[in-house]
Amino acid sequence: MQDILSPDVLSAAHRHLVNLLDSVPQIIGAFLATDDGFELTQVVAGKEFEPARLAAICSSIIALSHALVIESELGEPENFLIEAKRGKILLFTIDSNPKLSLAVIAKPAALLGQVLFQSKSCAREILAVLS
Amino acid sequence: MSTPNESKIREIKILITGPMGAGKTTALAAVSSVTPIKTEATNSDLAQHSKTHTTVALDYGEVELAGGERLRLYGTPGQRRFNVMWQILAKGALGVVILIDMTRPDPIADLKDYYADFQSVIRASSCVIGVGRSSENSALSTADIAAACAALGSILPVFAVDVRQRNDVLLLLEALFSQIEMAAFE
Repeated sequence: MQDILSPDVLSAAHRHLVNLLDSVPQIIGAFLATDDGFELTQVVAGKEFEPARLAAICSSIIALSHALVIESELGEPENFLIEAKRGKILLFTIDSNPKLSLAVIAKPAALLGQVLFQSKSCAREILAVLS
Repeated sequence: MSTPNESKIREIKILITGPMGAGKTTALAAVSSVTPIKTEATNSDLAQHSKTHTTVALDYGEVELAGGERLRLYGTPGQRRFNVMWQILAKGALGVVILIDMTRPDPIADLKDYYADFQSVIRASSCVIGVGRSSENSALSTADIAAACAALGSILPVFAVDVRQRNDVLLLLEALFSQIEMAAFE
């Protein structure tokens, strides 16, 4: 499914994921996927993930969260945060054409504001690449 | 607080499943008495199906049958990569509608796949099969689908349906509800 992005664009997006992990050492994984749950590219540090499975689950969660936000009349959703005992997951929709999703996984000790700020910057940079 | 009449309403969770493009979202929308909740994303797998959008988490709707029973309808995503959602949605379900699309390459293989994947619900309760676009497949009939069910060890109601037609979808749901009631008395 990688062919929905050109190799150059995919490579540029991948570099932004690498930069994201470099900028915040507590981030242990970043995944880029299509809106409908196909993995595109990923960068992980020190932990193995199953990217195809994660991409599909992220797609479902983003869509469900989107439905919840719309149902609650809170406007357009921006990002989603899941905090667990052993880490945090942030999900972002990249409003490009095609629409993509970005999932960022961080250690529990990660500063939420820092992860959020850097991840949003990463999402904006990927959007710029796609535009 | 519920009124006495409301408390008599039985609520039953039903799944609508089947392959991508079989018409699950359309079927649910055709009968739901509430605005359906949809979770659609842009379909980037055009080799699999040419439709523009695809369900990635669930569809939700409700329908009340003539006897006052309220069915809570959950449409599943069709693609196997969403099988985590299949497992989540199957919890507490009392019946499954499997929609088969006769224009797909191998409808009987589709039937076997979804029958196997939702076996926990089917074994515990009930299942009906809705066969869509049956007139567009001259090599295979609804009788063949029924025979395939029998070969899987289940005699299941099989109906040719147009999922856009409310009465066709209601027929499936009423047949399923009858099965659920019969299973409850066995």
